[in-house]
Amino acid sequence: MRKQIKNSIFILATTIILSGCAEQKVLEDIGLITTVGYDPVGKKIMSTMVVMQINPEAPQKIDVISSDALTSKGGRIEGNLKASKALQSGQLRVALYNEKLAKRGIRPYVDTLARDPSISDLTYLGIVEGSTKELLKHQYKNIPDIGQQLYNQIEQLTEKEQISNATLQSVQQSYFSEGIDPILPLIIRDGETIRVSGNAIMRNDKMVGKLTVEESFFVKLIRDEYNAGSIELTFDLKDDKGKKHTVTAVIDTIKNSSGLDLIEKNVPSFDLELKIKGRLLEVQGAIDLMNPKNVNLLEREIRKKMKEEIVDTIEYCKKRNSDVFGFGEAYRSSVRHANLTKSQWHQKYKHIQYDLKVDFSLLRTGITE
Amino acid sequence: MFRKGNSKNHHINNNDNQETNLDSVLDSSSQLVDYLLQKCHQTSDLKILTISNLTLFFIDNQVNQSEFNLNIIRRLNNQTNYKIDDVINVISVGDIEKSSDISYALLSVLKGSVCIYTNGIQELILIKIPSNNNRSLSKPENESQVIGSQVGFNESLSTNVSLIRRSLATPDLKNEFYIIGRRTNTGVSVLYIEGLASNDLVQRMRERLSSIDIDGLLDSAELNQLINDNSLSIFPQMLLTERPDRVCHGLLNGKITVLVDGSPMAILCPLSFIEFFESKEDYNVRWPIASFVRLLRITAVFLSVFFTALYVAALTFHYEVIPQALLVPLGESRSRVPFPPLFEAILLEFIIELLREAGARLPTKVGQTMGIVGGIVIGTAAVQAGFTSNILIIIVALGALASFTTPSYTMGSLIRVIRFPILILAGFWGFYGIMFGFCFIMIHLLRLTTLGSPYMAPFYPPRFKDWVDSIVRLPFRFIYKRQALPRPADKQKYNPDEVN
Repeated sequence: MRKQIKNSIFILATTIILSGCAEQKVLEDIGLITTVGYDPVGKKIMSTMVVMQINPEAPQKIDVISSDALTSKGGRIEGNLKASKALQSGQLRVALYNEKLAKRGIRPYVDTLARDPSISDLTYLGIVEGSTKELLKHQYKNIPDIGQQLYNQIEQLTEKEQISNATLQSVQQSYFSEGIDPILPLIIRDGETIRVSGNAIMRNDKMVGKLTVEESFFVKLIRDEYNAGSIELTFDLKDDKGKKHTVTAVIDTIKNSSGLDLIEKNVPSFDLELKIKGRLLEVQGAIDLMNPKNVNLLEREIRKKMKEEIVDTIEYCKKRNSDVFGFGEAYRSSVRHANLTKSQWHQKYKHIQYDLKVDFSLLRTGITE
Repeated sequence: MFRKGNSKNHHINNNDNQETNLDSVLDSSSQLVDYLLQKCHQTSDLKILTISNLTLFFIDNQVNQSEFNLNIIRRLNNQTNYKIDDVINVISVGDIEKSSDISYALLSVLKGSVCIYTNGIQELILIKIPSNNNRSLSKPENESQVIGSQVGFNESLSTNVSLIRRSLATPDLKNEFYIIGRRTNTGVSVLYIEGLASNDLVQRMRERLSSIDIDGLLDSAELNQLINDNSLSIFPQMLLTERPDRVCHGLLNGKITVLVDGSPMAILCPLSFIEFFESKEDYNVRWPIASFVRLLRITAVFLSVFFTALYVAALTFHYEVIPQALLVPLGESRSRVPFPPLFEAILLEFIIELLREAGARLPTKVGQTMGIVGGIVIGTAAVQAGFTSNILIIIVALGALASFTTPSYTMGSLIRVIRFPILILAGFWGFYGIMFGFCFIMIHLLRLTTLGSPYMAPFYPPRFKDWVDSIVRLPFRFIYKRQALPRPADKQKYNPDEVN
């Protein structure tokens, strides 16, 4: 018994003495980078870091540091020269890329984030129209902490399904899948506010085009299985008395499902079927919704309008050769031994054909029913 | 540690080496008087009285004076030549016995008997009239409960046994009596229900008790440590309880209880780890409430042991895991504190322990001062002075509060102690250290036994049937089986179909 105790004390003591202590990163002694932006400067990259100030006496909640280097991590080392506390990126929430940089490819800058074990996989990525430095450095009147503002804004938009989920994890997933391309939110400074202006569509890691918020909605309809927020549509409508109206309707999708099936594999042709159930939130224009005939007409017109818009969006993406809808995934899952590579699929994607069916029904038009 | 391999005569562990018999001592009263005076070293409270041909011996304050006068002295005054049966007929005390064993008689006298020697006759009469200097029955101080019986054990073994017998009026309830302690000769009772308790376990308990060779035994808490499976462990393996209803509930489940004369605590065993977090009240309230309370207590254990450690680890090593909303408040409250998180946390935990220990030792009259000192001086002033962060105060207070939810006091104090090593591990190695500490404790727990049965049952070995009455307490129709831990001879409590 005594020997056993002696042994265990000996082992415990040696483990403690020989292993030493882990590297300490005490919260108040480190500079927490919450947001980072990358801009191209010639061959170099300008990194702009929003560093959280946790001193209650500090005049400002954040400190924005810019530095240029050849790599993003080099930027952090350079930036450290300007900081009072060692910069650490474990609390990084948002990473932004300049549009110009995104057109050259964001792969190396996303990869370094993914490799760092301290960086969360749920970090949001975004593309800025214009300079990220200018967006982050600007002294906003009503925004005390630009880092927190960006994070909260992107998070609420993602949760409310207004933009596609663009976390580090999901972007990486789309990037590494052969049959789908990533889609990132587009952010722009609009005076004293920050606005999400739509989505950037990518071919592999390069930005090739922009979608408006409305177009992004249709991408979400096809790409994601779950409900896709609400949308405003304007179209012409003939009511049951033959009177013509220009109607603007706001529709909230309650449930949607999309079916994407390959029907021909040589020249890839798809059957794309969308089933959307929605409710009418608002309608502009003098139509009598008490009349069920009008509701049916409304449904038909919405269906038609949606179909048009979706075709436009798909055609645009086809032209830009960016498969943000995931046609390739459907192809890959139905063709055996396809051994699809990214470039092969992009070759095929340019020529795909599809047969679109939109099944839209209004579940409710309001409480007056 | 105090156990010996071979069992020896457990009836009386008296250390007199000459085996006295009647032939040498009981021949005449003068010889007996000499013997007793020599044996008791002429102690002044050994009284010797002679009435005609009778000699009475007793210890002055050990016998009940009024009973002694009324039932013995008064009745013995009118005859000249008593025979032994005359004495027994005359005396109106129920607890009367004859013995020819002089050392047994002496022990009996020490515990409050009057010994009567009839001149020339080789037998002694022992009349038990112990002075009744017991505390009256009162509420259990350390294990109070809202619904249920409000009586606790007191210091008298016979009262305690009778409290149990009152609830378990069955001829199967068996009482085995032992005397332990070379100098104290403390009476110890082992109670179990014959036909319910496993014979193996009872035999194991007998062996453990009879192999104890110790000079003094004053409390059941001491005995508890002597008959433990692992006396070096920090974990209690047998329950100490002052509630008769808890004991009866255990006995009905095939457990064994040990009572010690002079101690208001009963030992209940075998008891698994999870049962230390159960209380008798769980059966008195409705099942959803009982289940909720049990889950609450188990959560409280984890909270109490790991919460402060997690705070220290997150602030020292893993700033990544702090949620964004907490980052600013945490950082701001920490930025005024001059110490590293580990030191800060140990300091505050130490203060809380000081408060608790002082609260337990303080006389009740000045007890209120503790609240003021603890609440205002340490709570508010420490934060304002930049001594600790206010978030840590909340965490430490929560941990302390959580540790008091455990119904067993020994288990509760253990939880408070075990926090410190975990805290230090967290301060040196972060989450890795916490995990190391957790694994260390788990390995130890899994190796522990309680009276030879696995301590971590019903989780390991997995006995899913016992889960219905461990972390939760399901309605009575589902808990009709006795738990497997004490290996009861009769496995089913009742027919579930006939219970609503």
